[in-house]
Amino acid sequence: MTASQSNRPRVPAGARPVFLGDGVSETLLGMLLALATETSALADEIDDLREALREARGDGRSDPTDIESRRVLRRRAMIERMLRIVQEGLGSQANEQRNAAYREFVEQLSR
Amino acid sequence: MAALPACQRAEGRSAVAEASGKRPHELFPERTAGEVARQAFLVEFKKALVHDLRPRIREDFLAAGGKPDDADVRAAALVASLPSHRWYSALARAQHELYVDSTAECVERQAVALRDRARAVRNAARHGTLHLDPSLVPPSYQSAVDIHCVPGGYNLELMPDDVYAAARYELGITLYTLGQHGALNDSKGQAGVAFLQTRFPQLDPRSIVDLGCTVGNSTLPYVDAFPAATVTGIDVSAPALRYAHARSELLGRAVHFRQANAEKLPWADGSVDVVVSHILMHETSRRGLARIFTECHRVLRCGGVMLHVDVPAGRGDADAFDRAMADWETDNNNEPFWRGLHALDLPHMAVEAGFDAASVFDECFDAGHVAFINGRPWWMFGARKECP
Repeated sequence: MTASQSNRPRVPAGARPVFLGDGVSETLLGMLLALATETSALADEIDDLREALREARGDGRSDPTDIESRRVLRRRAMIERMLRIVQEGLGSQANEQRNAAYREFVEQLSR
Repeated sequence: MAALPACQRAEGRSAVAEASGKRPHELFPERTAGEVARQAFLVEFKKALVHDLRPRIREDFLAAGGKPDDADVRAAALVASLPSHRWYSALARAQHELYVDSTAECVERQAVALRDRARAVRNAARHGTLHLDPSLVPPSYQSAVDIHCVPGGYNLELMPDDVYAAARYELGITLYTLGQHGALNDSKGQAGVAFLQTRFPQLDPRSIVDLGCTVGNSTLPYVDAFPAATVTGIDVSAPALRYAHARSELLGRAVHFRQANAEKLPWADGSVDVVVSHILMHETSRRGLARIFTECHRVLRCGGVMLHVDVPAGRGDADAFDRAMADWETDNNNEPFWRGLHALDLPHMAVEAGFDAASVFDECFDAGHVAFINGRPWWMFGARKECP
């Protein structure tokens, strides 16, 4: 169902906070997460097609629990890759300390 | 970093798979493979925020000089200044909007069929009843903002006899709670029943009223636990009550649903044995809650019990960091009374409403049912009506 066919309200009454400094970053983040969601859904669809091929070859379908388990692992791995840069903590106090230590090391090498 | 132990992750996964893989009743929205896939990803993403990124914020809080016993104002300011908290907030808000939109789209495409199904069930009802009051005006705390950022809120009606908002709510809470409240989303009701049976073992109610029952998910455990009681659920939302009634019928439980405001209960003085609510208090206001307590006291018989089950945010063994994080919902997710509720002197308000101070209870009760949001036991607040 596209937005033009929809009859429901799409924006909630109330504030929409901005956390990343400006609305542009926030908007891009929302678009990025939507695209990641679609990518993950496509990966599940590819997995469905692989299962159909297995069946067509006479190999039978995988156990539904096994299918769900491997999809959970795939989603989790994808999310870990997405969040790696956040976990790294750019701008955090620990990162500033690492940067300061590196700058000091650079100075040492030239002394 | 301190991620959740693997065993707990596995439990969470299986709970979601169980809760989302099967429809618990015929009115539960059907999902396409694409909808299941999108929502599964968003559930996994939320788990990563809660279980992986949130501990990172705590680490940063402590590294920046925060202390578990900090004053709340200082802790809140420090947490808000952390880059990891800003990213957590931006990602959590984006995830929430996508999850709401995904569930809304799924339910809207089948809204007419769900409405017709609910109608058919209602016309053939064998257990309970439905009584709507079209003249009822919802209180402002239910209409001024869309609670939990769901566009249109609980009272939205897209068509006559609509159940869209309620069907979206039931699908939504299954995903929002990561499936941890059971396939029927009844853990709050189960916890309330366990508390009543433990705290008041002699309780043998003939009438039970559930305030703000929405789809009746927390109401049904009382039907099973107290078969001699007449159970009534009230709410201000007509779509919620239509859905709740049909849902209860499909699940074979007798509940009478009535459109009414908890601030003005449609029962005579001293005519009810037990009044309960589940996550109602934090959706009201200081004045509204005072009136609700007063109404509970008025309608209860001598020896009757008022029990409000709510989210244990910032309670129990929560420290300054936990309390700062708990306020996230107030500031960023349209839960305007979340923080205000926890600042109130509720025992004093219960006494003001007429309850005896010695009868007031205010505790987190561990019966094996926990609130997904922080894994803590549900918070039980209430009192028993004592008479001279």
